[in-house]
Amino acid sequence: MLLRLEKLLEAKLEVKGEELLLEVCSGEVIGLYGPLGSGKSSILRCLAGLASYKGSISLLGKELRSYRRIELVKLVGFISESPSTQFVANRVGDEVAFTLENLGLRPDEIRLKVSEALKIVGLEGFERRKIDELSWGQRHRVALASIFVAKPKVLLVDDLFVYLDPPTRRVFSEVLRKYADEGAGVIVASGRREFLKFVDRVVELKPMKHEFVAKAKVLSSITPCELKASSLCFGYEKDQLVLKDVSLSLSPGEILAVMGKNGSGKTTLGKLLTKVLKPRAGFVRLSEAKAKLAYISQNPDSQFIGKTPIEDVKASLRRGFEERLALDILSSLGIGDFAHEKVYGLDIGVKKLSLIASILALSPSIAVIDEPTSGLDDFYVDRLSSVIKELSKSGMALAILTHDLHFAKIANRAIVLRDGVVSFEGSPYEVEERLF
Amino acid sequence: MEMRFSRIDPLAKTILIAAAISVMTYKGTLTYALYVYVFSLVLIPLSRLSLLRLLKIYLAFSPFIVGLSWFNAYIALITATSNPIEVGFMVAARILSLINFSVYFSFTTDPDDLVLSLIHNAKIPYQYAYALSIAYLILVKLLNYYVEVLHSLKGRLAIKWDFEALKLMIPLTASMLAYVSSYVDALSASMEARGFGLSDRSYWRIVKFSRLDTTISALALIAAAMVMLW
Repeated sequence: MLLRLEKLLEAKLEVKGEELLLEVCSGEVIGLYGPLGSGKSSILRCLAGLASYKGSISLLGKELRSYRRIELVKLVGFISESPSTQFVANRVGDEVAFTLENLGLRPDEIRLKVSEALKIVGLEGFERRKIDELSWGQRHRVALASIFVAKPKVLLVDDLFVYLDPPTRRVFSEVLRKYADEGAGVIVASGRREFLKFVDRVVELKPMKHEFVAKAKVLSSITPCELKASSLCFGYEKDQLVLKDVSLSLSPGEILAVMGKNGSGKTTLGKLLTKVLKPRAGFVRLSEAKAKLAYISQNPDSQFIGKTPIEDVKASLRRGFEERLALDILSSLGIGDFAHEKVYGLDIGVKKLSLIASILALSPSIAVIDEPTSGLDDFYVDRLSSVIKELSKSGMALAILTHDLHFAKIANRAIVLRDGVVSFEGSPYEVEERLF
Repeated sequence: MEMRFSRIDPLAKTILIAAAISVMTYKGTLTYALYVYVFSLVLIPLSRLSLLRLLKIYLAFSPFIVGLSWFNAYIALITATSNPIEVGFMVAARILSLINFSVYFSFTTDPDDLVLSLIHNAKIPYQYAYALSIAYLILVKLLNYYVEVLHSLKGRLAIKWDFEALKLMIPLTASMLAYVSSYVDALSASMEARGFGLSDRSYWRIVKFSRLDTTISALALIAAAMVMLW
């Protein structure tokens, strides 16, 4: 047995006071499943020696605390939920070499190991490439290589899969499986059961609740509006086009899933549809000139105006409206209890719903929701689907920008973006990974 | 001889910029703030940045440029220590110069080379060199995030134009602080897990100071000293 965890009583954990037994053997991939806030990340941080704990964690038969840090770095690898935030370097080679430099290896030895690690993740010869110039999938592979390079006996992967598009997720699953087959133990944390299909065993931290039914309160003044986008063309750099020729339409009450892998231009298209960005060519037309368009960012922190959810909703309602109405909107999304909490301290699920409440207060005819499920667990995904369906019933047209094949099934229609154009249009049930 | 700014060692660029900023701060007048601003403008062609792109960056930062200048002029008006109009323009020139320098530096510097140059050329302990490089990395990320926040605020119909962000300075700043805080938390956990801070660190490549870098650094320091003593 590689790793054994029992009676973990770290102060911050929800599992406080309970007996948690987790064993990982050589060649095993274990899934750690639990809702947001159940302590998945905290447990992984304890296992990586990054957080203090009470109880017992044994690594190769020895208590984890008794290891020196240099030994732990060689034995345990940790990948955070957002690999892009773990990059220390600008170039692939420097990033992958970072751990080995810290361990004091000789330059020629480092060069060899960096090259081997990049080969495992399919990025052979990428040493001098800039990370910023790589695709999202390739960036995630760099993050994986930078951990593989030290060949840890135990690999800990935080809630990362929820941010990956299906092709990258498949590559990651295969690479992790292969790494375990070579004798390592792997623990993958996730709040989504479907992302843990490839593991040998699932340890459930806390049962997931599924009792919520949304009654999204929509203000009566939504103007039904049709959107038509024709031949949209856009690029951030002069000689590089993200979108080459994209046309689509959106009718009142319709849910359209705009799909594609990470970096395919979904967010850019969402900003063009809501007129946050101006296209280089093409146009977006609305059937009602007075119709409001709203864009909901995938990172709610970037969009809050108020200190608390209720203040944020009131900021959208503007003057003349009572606090009661703001509270009603929040309660209709099931987050009335959080109305007076500080927004930045809330978990990502509540943040996303709070932001939807603020957008609802604007009564937009068309709303574009960017990666609605990123960072969410099964409970919040269900809750969000219920909210989106309710909104469409009120006549609001919704475009959801997502790479989540399962979630996209709530849509009436789907398009897939690939190489800057629409490569598929049809039912969301027909969208498969190969279309990405 | 074509001298491209991107070829200069990051440490030499840092010395050059630090010398210019020192002059601007030490002299503390509108005239010197304008001199340094003009100097920073002269560097634009060297960094191959188009004027249009620079103007777009100015526009994105207009809430800070206008807000801080106005605030300082207002303070000067209350304390009556100096001409408030002059103070306002001086602060604006300083912010514009800082934007220019930051943009040149970020457009022409590889952060990995910056770390290695600080370690190998300036002989700074690697923990501090990485701290500086990460501060720079955060600055670049913060610039991108700032643009993202402006887009998001437009998306929720809170603003129509970039400069309107001035009225949302507090939530905007709070959002940026929250972003930095979560980013730093994730980054520090990752660095610790990868053994950062252990003794006997090695390097798989070395960055060396060239003759051109030495000349630029020496000239910048001498010029700054002469202006400050004059």
